[in-house]
Amino acid sequence: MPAFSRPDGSGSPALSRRSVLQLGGGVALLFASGCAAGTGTGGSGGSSQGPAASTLRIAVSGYPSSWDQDFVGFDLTALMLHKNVFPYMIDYGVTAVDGGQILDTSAIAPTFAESFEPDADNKVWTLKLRRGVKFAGGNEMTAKDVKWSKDRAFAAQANVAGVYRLIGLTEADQVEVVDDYTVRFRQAFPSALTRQIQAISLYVFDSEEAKRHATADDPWAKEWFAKNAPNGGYFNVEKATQGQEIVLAANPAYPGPDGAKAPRIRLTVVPAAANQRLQLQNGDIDIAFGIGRRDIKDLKTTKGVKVISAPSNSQVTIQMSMTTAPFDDPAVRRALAYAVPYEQIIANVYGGDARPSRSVVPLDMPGYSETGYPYTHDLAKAKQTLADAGKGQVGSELVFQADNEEEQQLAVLVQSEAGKAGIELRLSPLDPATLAGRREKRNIPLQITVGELWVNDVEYMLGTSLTKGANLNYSNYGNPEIEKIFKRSHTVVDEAERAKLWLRVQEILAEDIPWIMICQPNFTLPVREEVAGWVQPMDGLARLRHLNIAT
Amino acid sequence: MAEVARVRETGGGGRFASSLITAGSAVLILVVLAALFAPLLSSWGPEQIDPAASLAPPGGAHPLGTDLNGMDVWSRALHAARLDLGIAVAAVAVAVVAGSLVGLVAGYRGGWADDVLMRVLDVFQAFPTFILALAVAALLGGGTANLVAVIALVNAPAYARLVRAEVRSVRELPFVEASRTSGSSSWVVLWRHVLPNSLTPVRVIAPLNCGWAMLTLAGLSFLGLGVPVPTAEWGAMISLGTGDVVAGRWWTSVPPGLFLLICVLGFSLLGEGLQERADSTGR
Amino acid sequence: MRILRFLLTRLLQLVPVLAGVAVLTFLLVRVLPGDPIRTILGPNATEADAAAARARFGLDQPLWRQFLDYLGGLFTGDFGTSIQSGAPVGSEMAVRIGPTMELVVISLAVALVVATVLGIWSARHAGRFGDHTVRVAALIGNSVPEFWLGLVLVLVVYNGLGWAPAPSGRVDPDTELSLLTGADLLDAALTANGPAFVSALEHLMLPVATLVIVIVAPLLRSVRASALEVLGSEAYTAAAAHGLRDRLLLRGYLLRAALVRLPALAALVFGFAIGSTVLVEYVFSWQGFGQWALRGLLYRDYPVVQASVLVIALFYVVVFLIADVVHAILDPRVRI
Repeated sequence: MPAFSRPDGSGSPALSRRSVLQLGGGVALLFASGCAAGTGTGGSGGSSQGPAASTLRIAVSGYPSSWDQDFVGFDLTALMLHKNVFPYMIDYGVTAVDGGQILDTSAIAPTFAESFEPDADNKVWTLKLRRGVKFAGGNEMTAKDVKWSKDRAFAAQANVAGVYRLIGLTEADQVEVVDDYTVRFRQAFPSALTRQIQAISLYVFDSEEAKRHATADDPWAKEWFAKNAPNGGYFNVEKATQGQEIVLAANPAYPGPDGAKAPRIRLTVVPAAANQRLQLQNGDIDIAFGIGRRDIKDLKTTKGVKVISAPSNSQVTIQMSMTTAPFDDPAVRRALAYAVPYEQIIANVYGGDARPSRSVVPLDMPGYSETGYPYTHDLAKAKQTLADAGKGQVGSELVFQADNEEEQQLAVLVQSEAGKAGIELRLSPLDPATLAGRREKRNIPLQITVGELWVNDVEYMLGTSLTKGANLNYSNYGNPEIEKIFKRSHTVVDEAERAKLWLRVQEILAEDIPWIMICQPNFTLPVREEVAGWVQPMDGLARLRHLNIAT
Repeated sequence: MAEVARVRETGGGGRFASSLITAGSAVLILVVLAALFAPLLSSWGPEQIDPAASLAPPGGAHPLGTDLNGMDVWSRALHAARLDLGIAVAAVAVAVVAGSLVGLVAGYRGGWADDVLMRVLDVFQAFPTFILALAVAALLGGGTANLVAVIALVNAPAYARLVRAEVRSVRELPFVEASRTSGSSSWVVLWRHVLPNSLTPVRVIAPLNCGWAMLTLAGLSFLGLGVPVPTAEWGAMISLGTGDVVAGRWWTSVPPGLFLLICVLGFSLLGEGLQERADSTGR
Repeated sequence: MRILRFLLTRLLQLVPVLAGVAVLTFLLVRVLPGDPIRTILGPNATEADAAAARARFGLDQPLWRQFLDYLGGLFTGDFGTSIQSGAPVGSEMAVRIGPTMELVVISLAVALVVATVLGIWSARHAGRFGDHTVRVAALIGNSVPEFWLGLVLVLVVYNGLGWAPAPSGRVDPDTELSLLTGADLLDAALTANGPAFVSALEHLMLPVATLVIVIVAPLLRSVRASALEVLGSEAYTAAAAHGLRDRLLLRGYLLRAALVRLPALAALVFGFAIGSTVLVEYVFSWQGFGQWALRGLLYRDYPVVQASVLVIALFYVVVFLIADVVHAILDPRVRI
């Protein structure tokens, strides 16, 4: 089964506080990559010591593990940076919603490119590049760079190659250079997802530079790109001190609309959340990306600080393995779903900053229906369900990320209530390597996942998380009817028709219940009051170019 | 001149040593009592969640407030004494026994066995403590017995060295020599004569070491490799509470920190007193 | 000559120890659960991708082969390639060692000075209230968990009093310090960068204070005990009786005697400080060696863990060796 998946990012901030460990990433959860702590942007503000007034100062929890977007793992800081330093040919627009601004996934427009349009059948897409755009090193950005980047993705099985299958692109030959400034993508079938998928995949490398660093062993210069920052995006990396800080400078060569507003942004690595909070309060940083939920409430009332808060499609779930006892029994899955104290979690873990989930499909995704998750906290029903199935006591481990306070708090609450219903849970926080290894082996009976899909579409969700062999399908979920619907949806472009498919999908999922849907926490990001221009990303990865400092 | 007189007095510095020992013992007895009677001293269970109160300040139903999970800090801090004391003392006991055995064999046998054992100990001592502890914890998991093993492992080499050095000097003492030549088996000689004499310094070091073992345990918990959540343990409590300190919520991390400090201090006072006494009698 | 021979024997003894550390680390990281390769691959990676990545890092080879490669690399100064970052481990390590050494060496130096001054003072006032206070205070310092102490110091000194800079990093980036050794204070001095020097000093204040408080007790005890011995010795009594000035007594007798035992202990404390600096580094966002090694361990970055453990062990044994030699030179009674 081809894996289609890709993850996506996510967003919740959370991360770690405590630990020393700085685990890094987010983890992923669900969808991929994780969530990062928010990623964000920043403003400037009252600084106590004064760097150039126009520099935005941002604190992040960790240094990016790699600069190579094609091969990065679950590392939210890295993924966020990539969005800002790689040249994306097309990108999301911005739209205003009640008082704030969000990335508009339905308005994808050319940025570095001049245009990106399909033929009449929606199968062949033509990308036209602008003339005279240069990388920081002086090489011109042309069709050969696009071609090289896509060849690399296919040949080296980059993450992009996985997502491309969803839109019928599986071979390098399907990407053709027409002339120096034109590239054609020949899809195997028309897809409703093309623009969305290309918006997250059409970034390019400086191929001339790359070829200089390619070797026989490493024809795609993976080693070089892992260590050296790319350039030519909205920002260029002006300085990067391993493990400590990264300075971004607005790219003067950016040819499109909406270029970077802040001339310089400095990202400093501050692993301890408590330190980030102190520095934010004192005006030593403008934006803090590693602050957890427990501090958010206090910061809302702190002088000089404001908390950006917006509903998001980030989902917190507990995935149950459909192939491991005791959760191979649907009655046990249902009993656990009744035992989870949803309201208490929203109140205590998220301070009320979360929406309850009523479906496996996220609230703001087209096709969402309340029929998808008919379970509420009801211990009597939980016990009854277990008893009816002839089960007395059941037990399992509950896996989550070590060093993630939010997940730990959630796990403790679930453990306590589940115990009352007769389901004994052992909490098992795992470090990133162990977690990745066990997820790969698919041998975790019960695990907390947090994440957000990069493409706001049920087809994408099925392909990444709910079909056999999908990478984020930690439940080992498989349902023949869902597989069929998924295949069909590839070529269904009509919105109403798709909505009907998704309704059926949610009915099936309500019955099968592979996941416990805890809630959808809001995105929250504490910043100095002077920070302006924040645009809420739907993938949790901050777009720094919109930010500036209000004066 | 006056100084000299004073120094002589401190030969009778026995008095301060005694008060150190008394103070240390008193502190430890208090901690043990608190641990034993923890359920009577608190109305909440150590892992019981108060759904109405997360991070509630001290007062009312919770004398020291609640932590992030809504658990009672006072109750947890008391109950944690059981685990912290238990793990630290057990780990040191295991380290003493294992280390002494190795030291005994190395010191008594001498020769290549000594060389090999000492190099092995060198390896363990040169190995960074935390990495070793972390690796073993990751390998075995975070259970109580495994924590005892980890902490014992990092402490045992010091005892081995100590006992070895003592054995080497005791071995040459006339009465040991005598019983050896009189035909006693080497195990009898070891057990009856060499071991008891070699353990003197161990008795002095062990209490200090218990305090240190507790700090190691807390450090491991701070790194998330201690006892399983949500078990009450001081290091884990501090770790969970560190984020609250900057918010002015001192009650989640200061009480467990103080409990830990007091308990370690009890061991330190005891150890310091014992050491001072040993020094003055030895002189 | 004898010193030389002594040195040589001791150096030879180091070889099996370091070899043992290398073997142990090599095996230990590989028995740990968790897959280093999976943490660097995208979620989309297939088994073939994982196999390719494994081959890239030589992890597909049999164990003995991997070990030989590792050893061979060591002899040429090649620590391998970090699985996480793809960068050579040697160059990553170079950036990380300076800051941690700076922290530990300065802390140890300050602790030695404090211990010597207070220890001698304490001995000369032995049995009095001041002596007891100093000793108990040192014991308390020795009983505090360092990560907790660091946090409390941040709260009080940075947040409350505003005397210390924000605990983020080691030097204010606006001072444009250029890195040579990674030890910022040294770099600032070498490049004659005044503002950076001051900034680095300010940033060092709290972490150094934390470490000093935690490590000073054993040093203090040793100095005090040695000083007491001297104070009770006949030579000192005689000298004092002859009316030698205080300052001379202090320098000629007390100081030297008190310092004789210190090197061995200082080496031990150094070893401890290197080990526990990881917690302090975390609290102060120090981004040093400890954090790097820890992260390597958590992500099962084999080459990073191997290199960091070996280097810490090397420091440890070499410092002990130096301590022994210094001891031998200071104390003529030592037989070598």
